[in-house]
Amino acid sequence: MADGHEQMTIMGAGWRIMPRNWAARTGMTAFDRRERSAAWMLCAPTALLMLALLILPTLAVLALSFTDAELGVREFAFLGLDAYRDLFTDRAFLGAFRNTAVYVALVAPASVILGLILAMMIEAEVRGRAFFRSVYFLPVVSLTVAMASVWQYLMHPSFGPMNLVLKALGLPSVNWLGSSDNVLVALALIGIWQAVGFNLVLFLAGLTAINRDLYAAAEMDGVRSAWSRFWTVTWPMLGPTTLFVVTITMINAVKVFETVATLTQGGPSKASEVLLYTIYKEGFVYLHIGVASAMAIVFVGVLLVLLLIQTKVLEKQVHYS
Amino acid sequence: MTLQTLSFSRVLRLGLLALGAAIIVFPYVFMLSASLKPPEDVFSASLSLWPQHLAAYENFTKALTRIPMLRILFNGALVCVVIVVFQIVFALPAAYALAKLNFPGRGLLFGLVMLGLLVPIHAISIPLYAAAQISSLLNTLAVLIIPFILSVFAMFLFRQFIKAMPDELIHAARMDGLSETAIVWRIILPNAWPAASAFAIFSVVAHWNDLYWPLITISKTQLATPPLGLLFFRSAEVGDDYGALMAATLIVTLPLILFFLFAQRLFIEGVTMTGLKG
Amino acid sequence: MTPALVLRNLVKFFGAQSILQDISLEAAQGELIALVGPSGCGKSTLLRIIAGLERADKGSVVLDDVDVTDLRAADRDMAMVFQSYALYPHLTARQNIALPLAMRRLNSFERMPLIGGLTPATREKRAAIMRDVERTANALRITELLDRKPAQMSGGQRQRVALGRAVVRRPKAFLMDEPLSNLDAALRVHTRAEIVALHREAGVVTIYVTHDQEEALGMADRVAVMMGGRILQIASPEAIYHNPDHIDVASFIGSPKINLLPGHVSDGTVIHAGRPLKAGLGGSDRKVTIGIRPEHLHLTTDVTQHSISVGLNRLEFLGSEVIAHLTDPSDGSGLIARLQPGEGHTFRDHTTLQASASTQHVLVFESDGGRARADDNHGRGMAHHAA
Repeated sequence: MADGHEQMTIMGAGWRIMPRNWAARTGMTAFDRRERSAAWMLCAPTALLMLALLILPTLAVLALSFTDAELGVREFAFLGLDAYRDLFTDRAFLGAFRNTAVYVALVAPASVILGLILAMMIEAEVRGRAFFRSVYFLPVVSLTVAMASVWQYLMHPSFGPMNLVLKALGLPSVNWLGSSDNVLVALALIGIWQAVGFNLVLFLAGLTAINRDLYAAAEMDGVRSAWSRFWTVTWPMLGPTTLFVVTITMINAVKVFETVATLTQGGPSKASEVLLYTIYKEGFVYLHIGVASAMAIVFVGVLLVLLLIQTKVLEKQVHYS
Repeated sequence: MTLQTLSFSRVLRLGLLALGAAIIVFPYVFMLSASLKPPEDVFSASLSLWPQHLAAYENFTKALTRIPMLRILFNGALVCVVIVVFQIVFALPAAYALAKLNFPGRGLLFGLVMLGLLVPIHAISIPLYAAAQISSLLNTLAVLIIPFILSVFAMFLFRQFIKAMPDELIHAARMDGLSETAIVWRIILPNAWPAASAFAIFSVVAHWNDLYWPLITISKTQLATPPLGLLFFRSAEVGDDYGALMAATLIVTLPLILFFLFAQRLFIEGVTMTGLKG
Repeated sequence: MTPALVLRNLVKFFGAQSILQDISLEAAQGELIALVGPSGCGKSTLLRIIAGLERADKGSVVLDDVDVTDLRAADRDMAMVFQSYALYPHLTARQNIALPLAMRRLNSFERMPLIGGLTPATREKRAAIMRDVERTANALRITELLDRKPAQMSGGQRQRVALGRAVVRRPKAFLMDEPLSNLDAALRVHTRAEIVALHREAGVVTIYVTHDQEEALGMADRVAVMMGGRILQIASPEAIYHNPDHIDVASFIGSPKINLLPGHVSDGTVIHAGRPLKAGLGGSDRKVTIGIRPEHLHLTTDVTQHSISVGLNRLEFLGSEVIAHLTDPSDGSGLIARLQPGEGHTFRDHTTLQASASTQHVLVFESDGGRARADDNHGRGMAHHAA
């Protein structure tokens, strides 16, 4: 039609005035430039902080880890990878590694499973839900150092209520914090006590987010028992939540410090020396900042490995809908 | 659905929950009970909760005077509040840029945020301590605050939250003539309130509880935060005066618990939100 | 033949609020009954009570002559299709459809992922299940989707998998809770016919809940209109449409909505704005409401004995029909008339026209909402007539 042909010609002429690749040649429009400078301005303070508080310190720790530097001493030697080799043959460090592993193995599974079971029980309750949730959450908002002191009283071998209860039940009393065989278990009990409430709240959120229709569909499909319901609907749907809870719990367990520093200071006989406490002692009590830095790098390495394992292995099995 | 009746399974469930609750609460009960007891009662190894002789006055006085308890509580509160404010002030603009703006270096910055999530303060405490020592900042309140001003967790959380906000909100603001900075404080902050309060709670609890950093940077009792103050109290106390120690722990634990009881929903929603985005 | 599904006097409360008030219904074998009504009328609750997912406070549910009122849903042998499809997100389509068969034919040991399939007997059972799944998938044309998970499917595809899961079991009844409402309009019309075909092929009673009255009319053998926890009328689609028992039924069914005009009965004649519209109604002089469907309102320029004056606001040309937006000058209310594509060319906006309807299309409702029928003594039509 005549109209259309005219339009095409005008458009064609227009294109000849402006080169087609104008935008591509300048790289960006004025709008993009404005956005870019605004973004940089917004990020500048944080970027500077990151440099000063994160990047430089991390590089410094990395550098220090290869030396045998000591705080207050001028000279230090560059040891290179020997620093790490020495670390991994140091019995004390390996002991700390083992203790932390045992602690995590005691705290993580127990607090996750207990958190899940309690969350399922609370979720089935309609009336008392908020009450129980708050009660179980109390330890999370209580000062760790303070509650550790309370547990020290509770666990006192002679007049601590825990042993008094055991005696009343006719069971032998336990030397909780004073025996190198029991101390990790005692600390783990405190750790579980403090972590359950947090996991519970997370699981509760995950449970209430499950589409109710799935349970109705399962019922119609003939899924009768609570056990089948759990494996058919609840467990698969909780996948992302479970992944998160396990990750957080393990990472927090690896970072255990307050209870050890308050109650046992690594004892008795180094039975409760955990990674962070050892780093603290080496670096700030013995002032061996070179060694402590190497330990810190290993510590970060452990956290990284934990995170990677869980992201890779578990994410395959987690079903995001 | 249908109203709940008292079936056997429900009674069992309630019973187990109550038992669990009792175990959870058991330390608090004994903490309170021991704080009222004189040493003889504590050592008497009886399970009775009520003391033979009321020593509340003595215990609490010791708790408040052996160390400058009120000052220490104030330090803790001040440090936590200042930290949170600075954290949000620094993190929010950057989170907005990461979430909604396009600029070279965005990927790098986000990568650094993820890196920062991996590196806890403990790992980099040595150089930070050395820097503090060199700049004579040890034993000041500033040293308790400055290293924590940067919070990559805040940046991560806010970024996720802001990403979910509709773009139209920001386009409308731009058409109204707001600069990007104004957008952050006038538009984003009010709408990101749930994320901000969730993060604030998380940060306050974490820093109120922190022992590691105050332990290495503070040696003067006057400047201690509650965890450190409690450690000083323990070493100042001669012998096993558990009564006084329990009184001290009670005083130190009470503020956050009261805050929690008043703002329960805020806490629970905060934890839930960090869980959903994490 | 005994009815397939009987509901007797079902009552349900939520606290002090009444959700269902005395619901009774009989459905024959192979019948598709649509439960239609506005949101909150209790239709979903009723469906869940039939399914066994909720309990009624009073009344009974009888399926194939067996009282299932006290049986849990898993024991009733009914299948349900949910509005949200409720597919298990972590299972493939194949596993989703197989699950109800696995739950019924395999015991808990045989269902275990690896060790369950060891004995030859179990393997044969599992193979039989897979054959049934594939047969159903073929019928629904979703065979190529069988190994996908719900997240990898479109809404329409998920819906067919949900249908497959319900159909594969050959249950005694199908229950459907607004299965089409999450689909876009074009897909809805297409899938409607498929559901009816599936229902016919299975030959079992189906209760279909929807808020879309067009869906209900198009699919059902009988339509039950529910409001406020009661069934106002249950009848064939034609009867519901042309012969409603209650003004709420007439208003809810039909799009565009039925025109309602105020009127009164004088000496047995229904009068609106001074014009007699219908004669032969019994009873005393009283106020009534007159209902005329848009397609029955005939517009002309000539005045007749039974016509009323209306003002024409504008004509909407919609392709297959023309909609006339009118104003009734007697009270200023709006009316709508539906015209054929050819009609209305001569009409001008903002002129006065004459509207009339033939007597059988003038519906009269008493002040309590019940239908007044000609030659009825106060014909109140609140009874549930099965047409």
